[in-house]
Amino acid sequence: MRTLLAWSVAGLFVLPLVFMLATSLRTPEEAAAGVLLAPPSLHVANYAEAWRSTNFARQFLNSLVVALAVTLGQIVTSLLAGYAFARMEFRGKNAIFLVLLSTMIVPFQVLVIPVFVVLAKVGWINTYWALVVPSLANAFGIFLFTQFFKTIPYELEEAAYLDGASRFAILWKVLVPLARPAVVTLFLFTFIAEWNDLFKPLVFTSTKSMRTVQLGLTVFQEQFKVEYSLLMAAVVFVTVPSVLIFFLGQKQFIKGIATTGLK
Amino acid sequence: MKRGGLAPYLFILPAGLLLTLFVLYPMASLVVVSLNRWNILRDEMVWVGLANYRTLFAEGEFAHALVNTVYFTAVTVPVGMALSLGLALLLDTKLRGVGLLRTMVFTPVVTSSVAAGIVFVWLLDTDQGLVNAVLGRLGMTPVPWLQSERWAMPAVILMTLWKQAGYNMVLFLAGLQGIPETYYEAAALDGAGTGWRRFRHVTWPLLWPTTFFVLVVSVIHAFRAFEPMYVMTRGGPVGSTTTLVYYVFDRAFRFGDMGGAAAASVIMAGVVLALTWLQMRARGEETGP
Repeated sequence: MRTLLAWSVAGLFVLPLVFMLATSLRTPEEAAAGVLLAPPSLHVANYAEAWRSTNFARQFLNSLVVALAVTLGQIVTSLLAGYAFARMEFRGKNAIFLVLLSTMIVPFQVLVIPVFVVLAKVGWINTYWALVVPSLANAFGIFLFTQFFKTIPYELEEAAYLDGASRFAILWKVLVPLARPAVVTLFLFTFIAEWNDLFKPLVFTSTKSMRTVQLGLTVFQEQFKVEYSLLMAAVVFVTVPSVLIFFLGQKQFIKGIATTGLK
Repeated sequence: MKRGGLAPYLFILPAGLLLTLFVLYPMASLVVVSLNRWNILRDEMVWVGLANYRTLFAEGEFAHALVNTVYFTAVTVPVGMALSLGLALLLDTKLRGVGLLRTMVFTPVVTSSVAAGIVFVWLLDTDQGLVNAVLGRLGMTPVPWLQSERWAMPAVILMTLWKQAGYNMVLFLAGLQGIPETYYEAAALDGAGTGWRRFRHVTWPLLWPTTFFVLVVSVIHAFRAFEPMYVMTRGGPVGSTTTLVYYVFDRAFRFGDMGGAAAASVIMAGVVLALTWLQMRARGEETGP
């Protein structure tokens, strides 16, 4: 009984995705006629046509560059700051930590106007810089690494200290390998969030060549309105990268949410 | 632990500088912009004091957006929480294939709002959509979901619930698994070992910290919702799905009215800060490195 209920509820959740896949493989005529249940005719031409009709190749490149740059940048800035907060004593430590942490509270959507003004002043609107630089640091990452480093026993670094290794070398060679789960968690969260983001590219870019996949998809939707077989094909290839990355790192991703409650 | 001169500050510098430039400074700057009349298309900033705020409250549109945000929040939060708690209770078993079931519920979380929005636009299409096809079989007339002032918001809410349930389910599952088995055993001895009584007297009180956390996170998420509306309805029809963030976006980047949009943002920030403060007070939590 419970098994049946569990399977039907979970089935309901994947149903929209199943129908999305099925419709992406129907001929435009079938889709327009509202054919829903018949097995799809495997009309893969939709994918080629959707891919060609706007410049999806360029948009994939843009999204990949932005998502990777932001993700790697956030990992580096968070590792450095997290190390200082977890392992060093200095004046103003608690105050600085609290101020930096407080930046987590205010959602980006609230600050979009002044951030836009800053970016306009330095002439970065409609460049990669605008999509990357404002996201290069994140309080969540700092918090994550500070907490993680504190769980690692100090003795492991002591030997390296006695050998005269620099702080940077210790962070890189001793702590980072031990912090792999936290690094992977931050990578997964940030990459998927950046890949899926619409708000920043919508506000900070203006030309076709700077569009990311999500923004490109909304433009594609405006163009093709109710040609659902084409639309679904485009939705599928834009969705595949984030779902794939999630499947690869699923365990770590779920554990990350469960222990930190944030994404 | 080593106390060492400049080194710690250098390690913090990159993150500190970026967060100052793109979060702390903008917070202050937002307030200043909100006190000026400034149309970015004409590029002049004139100090007007609280005039932008007065305009917001005098016009019906801001109030409408506020009402819409409250509507969206008041439905997605409780319904979403009940849904994800139900899912967590259902899938907190050692059933065969439970991992697969959880993954099935969770997958919508990692699809983008744009992709999910487009899929739901199709599912809810008046003539070609799945939902009306099912309703048709049941003998009901087709509903123009996204073209109707009455049904557009419920449609957006439906998509949001579908997309977010898995996320909160994971939080609830972690909470449930944190309840020690001994409590259930003790309850069983007292005759409250099964069903509703077990839930009411053991699970619910012990799960409360998780529930409260999910509540706060959900409210803040709901308050900043934008993408589902942008993709599914563009804030329409007739502003019926224009939430606060959508209103700010429209006002600033379609009409160029930075001052007015900033004033609306300040009010939104105030609400979010008040909610966070309430949460911290309720939990009495101390955070420190």
